[in-house]
Amino acid sequence: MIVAAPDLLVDTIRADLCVIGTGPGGAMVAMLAAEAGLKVVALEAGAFVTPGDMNQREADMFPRLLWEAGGRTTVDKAIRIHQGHGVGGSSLHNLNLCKRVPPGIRARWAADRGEGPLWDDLYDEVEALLEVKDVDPAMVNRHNALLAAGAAALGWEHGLLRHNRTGCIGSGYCEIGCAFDAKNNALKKLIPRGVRAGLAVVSLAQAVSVDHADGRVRGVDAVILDARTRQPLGRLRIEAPRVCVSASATGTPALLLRSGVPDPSDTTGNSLRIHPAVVAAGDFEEPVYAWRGVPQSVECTEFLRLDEENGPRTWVVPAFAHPVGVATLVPGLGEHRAVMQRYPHLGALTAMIHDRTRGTVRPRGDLGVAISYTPDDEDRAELRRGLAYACRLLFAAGARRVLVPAGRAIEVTRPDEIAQVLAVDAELSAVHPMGSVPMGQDPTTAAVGLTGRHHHLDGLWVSDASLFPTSIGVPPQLSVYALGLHVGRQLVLDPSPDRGTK
Amino acid sequence: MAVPEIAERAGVRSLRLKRDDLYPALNGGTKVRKLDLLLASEPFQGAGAWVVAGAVGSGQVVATVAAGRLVGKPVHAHLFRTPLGAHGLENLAYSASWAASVHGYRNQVDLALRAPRVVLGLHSGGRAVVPIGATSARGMLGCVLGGIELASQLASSPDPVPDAVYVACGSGGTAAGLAVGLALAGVEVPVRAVAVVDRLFAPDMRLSYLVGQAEKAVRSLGLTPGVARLEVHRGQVGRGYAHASVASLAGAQTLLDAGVAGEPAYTGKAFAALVADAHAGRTRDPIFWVTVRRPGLESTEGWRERLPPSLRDLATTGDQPVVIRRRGLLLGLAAAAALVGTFRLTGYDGAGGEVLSAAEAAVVRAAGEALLPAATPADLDSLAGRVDRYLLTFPTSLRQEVHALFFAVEQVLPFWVGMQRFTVLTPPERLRALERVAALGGPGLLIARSIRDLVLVAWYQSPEAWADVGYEGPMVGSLPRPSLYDEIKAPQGWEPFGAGP
Repeated sequence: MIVAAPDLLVDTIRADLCVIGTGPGGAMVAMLAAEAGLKVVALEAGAFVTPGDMNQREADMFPRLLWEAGGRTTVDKAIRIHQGHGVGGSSLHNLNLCKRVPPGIRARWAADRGEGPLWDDLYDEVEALLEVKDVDPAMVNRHNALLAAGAAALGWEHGLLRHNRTGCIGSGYCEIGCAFDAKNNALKKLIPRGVRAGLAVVSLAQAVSVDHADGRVRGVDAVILDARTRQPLGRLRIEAPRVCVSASATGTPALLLRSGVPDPSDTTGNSLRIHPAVVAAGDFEEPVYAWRGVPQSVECTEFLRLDEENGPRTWVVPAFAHPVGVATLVPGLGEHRAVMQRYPHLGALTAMIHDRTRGTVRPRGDLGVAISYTPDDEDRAELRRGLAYACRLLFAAGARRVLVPAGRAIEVTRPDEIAQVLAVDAELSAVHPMGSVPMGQDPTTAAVGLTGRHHHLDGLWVSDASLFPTSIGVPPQLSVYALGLHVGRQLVLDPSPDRGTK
Repeated sequence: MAVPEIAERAGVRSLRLKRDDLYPALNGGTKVRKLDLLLASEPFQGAGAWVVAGAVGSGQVVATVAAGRLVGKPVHAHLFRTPLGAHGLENLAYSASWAASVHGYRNQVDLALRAPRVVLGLHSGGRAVVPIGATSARGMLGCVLGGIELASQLASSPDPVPDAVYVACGSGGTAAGLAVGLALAGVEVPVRAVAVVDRLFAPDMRLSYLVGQAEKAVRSLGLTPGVARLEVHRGQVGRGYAHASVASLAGAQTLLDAGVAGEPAYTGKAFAALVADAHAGRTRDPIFWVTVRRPGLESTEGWRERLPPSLRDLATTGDQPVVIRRRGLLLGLAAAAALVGTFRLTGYDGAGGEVLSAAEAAVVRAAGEALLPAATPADLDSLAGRVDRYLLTFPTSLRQEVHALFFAVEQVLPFWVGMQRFTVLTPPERLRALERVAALGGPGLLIARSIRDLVLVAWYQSPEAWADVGYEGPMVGSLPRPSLYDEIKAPQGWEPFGAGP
């Protein structure tokens, strides 16, 4: 069952396995372990928010679905980082894109870090479970159609994306939760199955540290959070011989470091990738109404050659949001309102890169994370090129002018002025943190093995995007579900410790 | 016990004292009630040492150290600075004499930042941490028993039924436990919890939560709690925790004159609240709960040397002329600051919110006036409330950054257009100030951008703004939605794996 921590009558729970985080990686492990007969408790820092609670209002849903109400940034405030919480994790607010990590990247991982999961088998299974399919062409809205038109006019490679949706009516509010339960996400596909097998999910319980002694985990210390203010109300302890940390690529390394989990490889929290992205907005003659319909259904892959080790690595997709999201993206002070009055006529593209920069994650107090990330010169150059690609696509699609959020508002009025953006460091945002606890076969170069089992602390497992050895260049959710499947099966097959109390 | 001589001085018809200073264990005091059950449980029994935190003159630290001495557990004390009276100094001498180690902090915030595990009560490394104020479900059960004890005494007393029970309220656990205990025993008398700490450290929400926790603890014993009656009296906090006030000194003296233990930080303020309520006609037959320990604690000769350097000055009598000179300097600075503050920090109309102060709410409105020409006065009035709601879920560290942002906007940013504060400027001047500071780049741009974004988040979530930009608003409500998740939501009282206490 799913219970809110403030409603618990006890302050200690004993289980065979404690899973920290209920996003795709954690929910998959929790479900599989419960189905294998283990007593499983899954802690979730966010609330249990169901489609019936999702009212399509940004003001209400940002605090309920996003860390720091969507205001999380890097330490220097330069990059806004969207990460989700709630039972189901980021799968509650993501845009349902499903892409596999390209074989070329997986081959490089195998060569550098050892032969890992059987990815294709896992992908096949996950895609069937989540009912992944091509977006129905009839669901492509005008905003996405403009990207397709721009790419076609330039002769650039583009196509339809694949999604995990069933019963989508195209309301367009995916990023603040689907009120119509059309997302085949962790909340819909994994949690109910786990609960039917005995899984206990405790929401509003944030893990503070993994308790361990003599080289073994003993449990998890957590705090109970107030549903309204998210301030700590009390403490909760889970006593368990196994702990699986699935607290995201920022939360997981912060928790491991705060807990003093040994790591002779010194890799924990030292290789964060985030897929940094820039945005350009086009102002079109005819209304676009970009907020209506499926937000992302078309991609431009002309400059995305991930199988090549040094190929172009920029992915362009539409990016739009409801008024609050767009207003905070639109540049300017006094002139801001004039731009917002063109809201129905705006279309925006984001250029996201497969990054090589290594950022860091550290704990910030008992509950927070400190994220440091400054793109290196190569990544900055790739981002600038990405911005230029987005501008070209917008003009090719018919935009009268293009606006670029930077320190000051930059307006490009003609295609031959696009070169100016190559000198600009535009504002950055990120929605795909990953790679902060990279898995690997060799304990001297990795904290966690290729099964998800920690090399240096018995009973400890990791299952989330932290494990990717590098950036993956594509949206991570499908691969995190696949990793969860892989880690969950390895965990239930693991002979130690004793198979619990059931 | 009835104390007619004090009743007359307090202005009530009858007054009875519940004297925990006579509680037999250790040195007495209500803290012992809370620690009694708590320290007898795990992880405290199995721990190699105990950790406790409190003010330099904390009675809770004294009681924990005394309990550790009794059962042979080393106790590590984490003490933050507050003003010290004679009673507090005696406590500090005792803690420093017998604690295994003493750590010093500048204030509560310093303690929270440098020793968060201690503040959050997270046990580690074989050391069990006593919650702040010993306030936990098990600790509160000790006070629930105290409430039942009082109820049984009332039942056998020929005196009139009391109309209120007054008790000092620090971390809140004592008051919550007593209220639940009295309710459990069927006594319908309100507990008036007299706050001795700022609202920040014991908000109403926390007290409600603590009552709920105490009721859960009662239910876990198979009992059905009654309706707890807890009222919070916030009129005696004065300058803050551990700062004596004229009223609290008078309250403490009244108790001392009657031969009852008293000190100005807790019992003095609680008694002052009783007196104030008596004069306002809110109580005629109160009970006053004496929470303080007995006087007379033994300390070692070398206790001062055991203090960390950061606390050592508190324990010395000091060189009076120097102290006076310092005080003179501080008074001069304070007077100057007050003079400046009169112009720069006061005079804000309207109210703040749960996060924003009145001044910060005024900054939101002023920024909105500059940035949102389409907003009406009514729209601007609602902006601060929306920003407050948005900030409510921010973690404490981010909230501190936001408070610093508001200070910068109001007090620093206007230096680019004149010496007046931001809210006093005209809307065009405010916009010019924002643009100039943004043009500086770096921190200037960050300040301008951040205050802009807060205003935009508040504005563009409102239907009034949607009309201005041609957005039709949410479609939900017009279509049926599934409700497939009720069956996986735990019913009331459900526990994982049937776990019980």
